[in-house]
Amino acid sequence: MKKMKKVLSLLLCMLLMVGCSSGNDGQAGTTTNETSGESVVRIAQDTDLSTMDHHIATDGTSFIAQTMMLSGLTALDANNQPVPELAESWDVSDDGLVYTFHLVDANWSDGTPVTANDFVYAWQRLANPDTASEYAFILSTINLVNADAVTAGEMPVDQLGVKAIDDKTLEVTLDLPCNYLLGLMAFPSFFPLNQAFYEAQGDQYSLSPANLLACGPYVMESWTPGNSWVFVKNDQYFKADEITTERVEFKFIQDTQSAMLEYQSGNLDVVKLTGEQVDAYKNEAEFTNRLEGYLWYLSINFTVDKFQNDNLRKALALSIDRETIATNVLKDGSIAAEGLIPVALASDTNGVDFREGAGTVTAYDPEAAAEYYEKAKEELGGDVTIDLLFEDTEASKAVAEYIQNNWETNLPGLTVTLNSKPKKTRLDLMNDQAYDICLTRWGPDYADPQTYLDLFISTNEANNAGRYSNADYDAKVLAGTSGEDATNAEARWQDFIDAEKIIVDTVGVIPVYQNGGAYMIKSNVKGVEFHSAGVDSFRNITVE
Amino acid sequence: MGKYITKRVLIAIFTLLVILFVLFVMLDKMPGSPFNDEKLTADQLALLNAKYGLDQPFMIRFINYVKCVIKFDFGVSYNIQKNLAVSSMLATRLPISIQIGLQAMVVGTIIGMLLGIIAALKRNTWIDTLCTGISVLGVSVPSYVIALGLAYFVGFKLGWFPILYNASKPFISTIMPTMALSLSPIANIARFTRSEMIEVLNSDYVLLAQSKGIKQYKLIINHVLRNTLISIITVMGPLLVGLLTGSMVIEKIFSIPGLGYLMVQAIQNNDYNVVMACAFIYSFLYIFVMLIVDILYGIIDPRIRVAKEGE
Repeated sequence: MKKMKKVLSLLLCMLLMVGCSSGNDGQAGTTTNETSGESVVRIAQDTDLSTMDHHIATDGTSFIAQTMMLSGLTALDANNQPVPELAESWDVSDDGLVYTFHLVDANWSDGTPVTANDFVYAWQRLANPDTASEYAFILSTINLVNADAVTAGEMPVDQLGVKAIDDKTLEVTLDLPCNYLLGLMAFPSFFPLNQAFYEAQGDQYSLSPANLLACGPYVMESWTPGNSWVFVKNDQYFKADEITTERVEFKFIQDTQSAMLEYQSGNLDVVKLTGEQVDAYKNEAEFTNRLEGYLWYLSINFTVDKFQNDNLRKALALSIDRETIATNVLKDGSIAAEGLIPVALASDTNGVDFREGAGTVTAYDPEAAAEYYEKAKEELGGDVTIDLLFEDTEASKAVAEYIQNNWETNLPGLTVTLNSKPKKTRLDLMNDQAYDICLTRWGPDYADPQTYLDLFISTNEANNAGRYSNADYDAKVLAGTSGEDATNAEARWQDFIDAEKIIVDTVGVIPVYQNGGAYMIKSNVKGVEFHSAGVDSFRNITVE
Repeated sequence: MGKYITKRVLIAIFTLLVILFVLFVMLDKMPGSPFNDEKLTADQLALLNAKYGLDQPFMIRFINYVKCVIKFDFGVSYNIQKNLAVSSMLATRLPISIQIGLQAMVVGTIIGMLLGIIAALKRNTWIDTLCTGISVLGVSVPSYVIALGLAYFVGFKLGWFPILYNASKPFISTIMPTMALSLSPIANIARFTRSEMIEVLNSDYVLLAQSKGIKQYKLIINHVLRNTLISIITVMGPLLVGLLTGSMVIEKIFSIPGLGYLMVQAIQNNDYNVVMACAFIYSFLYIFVMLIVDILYGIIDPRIRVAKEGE
């Protein structure tokens, strides 16, 4: 009996010790300051923070966190337009090939000034093969001189087309004009890096708040991996007087229902909803819909013989009811894809959205589809079976099931088998051309149709998984991106409109929907900026 | 006893090595790779694979890995927390999983044993039916239902405890996860305690003790409980490992940065080093707890100790 008591009390002591000690392991120690009147905003994120290294990051959650504490040459305003940030002004040469940025007097959070060399060093690190950045390609997309050669390790990094003229003047030289360059300067991959600080951190750089230096509105106060990351106002920020929110807390909440309970308990200010939750909350005042830049489409594998048949592809494209998918299946603010280029991605020189200029190029016509399928059957010698590959997420599953239903109902005799795989496996199957048709997506890297049209030119083996090959399409895209129309904004735009029409009409891909997002945002919280091309910004968030 | 323990430890180390090797083979054969983002070119892919040593032949990678593990270096994470040492990821998550697991075990054992004892002493009455009912419920209701129910009614409606894990309130914010997690040990231990108690109560030596006039409470504590404990400890071992390594469902609902969800995340992302390290910890804990259970047998039942010493 005495022994039992001893064992039991020992166990209880251990329990108490564990309970007391695990809270003070250094990285934690945050308190939600509700009583002191300090302005705090708490934001739920549905994925964990992966990295604070802005040259290594590839995901939205990491980019959002990085824009909290770092600034670029420009920033995006609420209407997606670039405005001066660390560059107070800039000059562009007449041929559009040389950008000269004049930096504002700004400091890093340790008090050292932000200089043009911080940008040169950062871009060189991004291009350096040793960094192995998955975003190194973005230097080539702005047509930066020697970007490809440096990234491939064929040229030293100092040959990159970026130079510090003096401490406050940065010169960027391009091979070809790039009319979306200023917008891209607000993207984290182009943010500066303080060389001395970076080198002092060694391999610990960016792994904890102590190994980070800020030049944006906030500094990182704490980071508990898998749980939360907290920013507090950066007093060294050059516009610190405009920042009224003292503290921004991001919490990784895996379960959307728990997140909503937490929101309703008043412990969260911004929460993303899933499609199923939308019905319950869509009539509340705090409900907000936004459009994301992601375009979901069906990639068709042209290396499979049956998909060389034009009538079969047309039948498939015309028998998908995109409106119902967006409004009844997804319900989260997604919209039917009118073409390959999403809405609100880019505008022409007159400010007209690409979609408005190009019009609707997709269509839902079950009768025509059935006719095409009859012809296809004759040509292929019988009914067709299709394997539809998709990601094992709720949304993809729902959409894939609906497309299966569409196809099997509208094209009698056609059989569709569903093939659900984790994302990494799906990508491998696509890269190996081991699929029939795959529901996949592309997020824009910059606000220009080129980010989508580049994917399907016949030479782009890395992205053109289905091996779509169309000489007319290639000619139009290349004329606009690097050929005779590259310097003529209007001709370039028309090339892109034509190219999109070619790929949709010939059913090179089947655009399905543009991603939406549904959020609950407390009525006293303002300044959440959603950017369909670019990183969502919580930098200007205020709480009343 | 010493010889027995040494033998068990050696077997444990060998088992761990075998497990590591099997895992390595499985990860190698698993479809997908850590780096296959749509935006990567072939050149960059080769660069990344070279950077993390994934371009090496299989056996060299395995030997390098084992060499590192001996030094408690589990490599770095490829995706989940890019370039962060896996050992420091575990250092923040393992204590949380262990804390909640131990709490659930203690609560589960105490309540489970109490229910079992009461049910056995009052067997075939309504109290017995109630206790058995509770344990059947505990086994059959999925933990996410309990967890969601707790989060909604106790956390949200009543507002007694925080719904989500909060690193600055490590005890109060783990009360609900502990409650949800302890249900299954309560049920399991209650069932075992009841059936074992009934068996012991019907045995000859209890009858003898009773006829000698030993007081009821003394009889229960000194004779019945002591003999019941042996079989309870047998089920406690595996239960404890299950609890310590975290429950994916509970962690997801209460947003706990523990080991269970990390493992699932790592498998989905092909974050090889994290998968290996989690599996290593699971196996290590399992083998370790089983060893402890064996030693505990010896303490509670001298016959086992004597038999082993005689080996």
